Amino acid sequence: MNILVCIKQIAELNIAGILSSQTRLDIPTDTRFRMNRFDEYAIESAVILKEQIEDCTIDVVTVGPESADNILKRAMGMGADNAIRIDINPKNYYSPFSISNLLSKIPRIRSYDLILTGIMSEDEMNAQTGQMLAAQLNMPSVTGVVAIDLNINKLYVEREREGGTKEQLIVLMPALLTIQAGINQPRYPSLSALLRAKKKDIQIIQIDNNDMDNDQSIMRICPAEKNRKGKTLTGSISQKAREFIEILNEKGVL
Amino acid sequence: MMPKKILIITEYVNTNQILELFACAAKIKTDMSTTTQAILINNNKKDVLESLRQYNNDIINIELSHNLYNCDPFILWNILSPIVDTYSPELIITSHSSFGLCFIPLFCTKMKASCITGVKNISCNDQELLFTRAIVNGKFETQVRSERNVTGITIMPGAFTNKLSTGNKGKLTHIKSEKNYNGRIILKSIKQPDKSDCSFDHADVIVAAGRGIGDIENLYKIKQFASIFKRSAIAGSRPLIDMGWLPYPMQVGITGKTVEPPVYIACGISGSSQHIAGMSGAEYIIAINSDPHASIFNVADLCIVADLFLFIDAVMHDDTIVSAQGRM
Repeated sequence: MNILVCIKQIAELNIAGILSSQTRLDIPTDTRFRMNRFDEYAIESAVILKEQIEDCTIDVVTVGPESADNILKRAMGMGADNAIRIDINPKNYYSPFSISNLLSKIPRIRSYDLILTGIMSEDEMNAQTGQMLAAQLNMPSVTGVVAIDLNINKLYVEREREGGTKEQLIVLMPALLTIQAGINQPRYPSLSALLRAKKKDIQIIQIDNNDMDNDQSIMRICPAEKNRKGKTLTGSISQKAREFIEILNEKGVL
Repeated sequence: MMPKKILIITEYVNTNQILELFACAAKIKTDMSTTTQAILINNNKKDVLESLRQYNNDIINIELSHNLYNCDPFILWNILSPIVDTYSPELIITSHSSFGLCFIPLFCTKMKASCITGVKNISCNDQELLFTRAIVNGKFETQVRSERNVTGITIMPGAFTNKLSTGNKGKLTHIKSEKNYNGRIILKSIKQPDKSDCSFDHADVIVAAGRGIGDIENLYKIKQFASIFKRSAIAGSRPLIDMGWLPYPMQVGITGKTVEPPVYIACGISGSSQHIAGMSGAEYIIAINSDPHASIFNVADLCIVADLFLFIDAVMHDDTIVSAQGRM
């Protein structure tokens, strides 16, 4: 069985004071990058399947610049066998359609029974790339998967809907699943596994600039608007605590 | 270019959710020549269909035969594409929900349309629509322009609540899909969540904990903090429930419960759009977070930038609290 996991590198964006330019987020040079959390769940799901079945290979792919090799190595440290990077210029914007278009080259070279990816990326939050990739490959796709069970080549998945309702589905393979948080506990790769992964080669795929086919453009980026006029408490921590108590006392809830 | 034909595609969750889609379409309509058609999947509520007609939108009610799974994107495409082709809309609107997200990327791929998800506002600039959407956990917003003739969007719950004007009654058509499509996704069963009551309904104050509490061991401090209020309840954001620190019925957010208490205190919660959708209806929102840029502060009435546990300690050691606790 061949599994492909599509992952993304994102900037550690909970650092305060990220500047915003007109149309691009300026990522400061000292920013740390990491794997998109939802994609960690996808890799873990693949590794769990590999542990259960014989003859299973996991390929992992990302679309990104050279720095994204780190998340590929981490994925191999977690248990993926081969890594592929589709090289892009980080200065350009690629819409989910462009990304899925680039990703679709990989399953056209080698066939996969199962493609997994995170339900969305934490930075752009589009939740589109997986479903678009499936559409381009004419594969069924299930979004928001919270359980996977492979039993005699039958794929059983549980899909989460709003309000905690869950649907149990049987999906014919080849199929693509987008993985929701909480499906498992992604493992920390051991140091020895990471060292082994570091020595492995990453296959680099160069792209043709005609591959960029953005269906949308970003016209402006700005800090999110406030929905409520929040009052910010000032002073020492005990002053803040005092004011907090007074406000709640007035509301009669203490 | 402004759309002249708008198509809404939705399943029935509740009437409000459909009205929000209508409101979004109404906001974009620039003149009388713009038309709106709405495709409703598996809506067997006759009174709802009847009441939806009053807003001058044509309604097509589609009943899928029971063996067709309504979230198989290819099934939806097979059934809906002839209707979409005939009407040829420039804009397709659906909800930013598990339903909307299951099919809109496929539809846009097939139609060579632009796909813009999580839209929270739409503005018009020089005969051109700009779609506002949140990125980076709601810290930033982008304004996006479609680069295609057709655009499919998903809208955030609660984003469009403009009042709808009534007009001529729209046409109502029923279509029953009898054809047997070979779906590759088969629905076996549906599991409803455990409805056990967490006394959210009776609480004046909901104290909600997020990833920022750092460790499961710190939950007791949150519980102590909650105990200073007369009627309080503890809740958690999704990451805490995913990690197993709190049980599922205590989860607040799109995939958990929606709460509207008099006071909501978010402790160490960054404020993802999925969490905010579940608590933004609270009367008074207090956010305590050490990150002054956390997006939870954008929806808060009272912002407390502080180390969570130092702040809680300071509250617990305040004279009025100490003496009140002593009396109990």
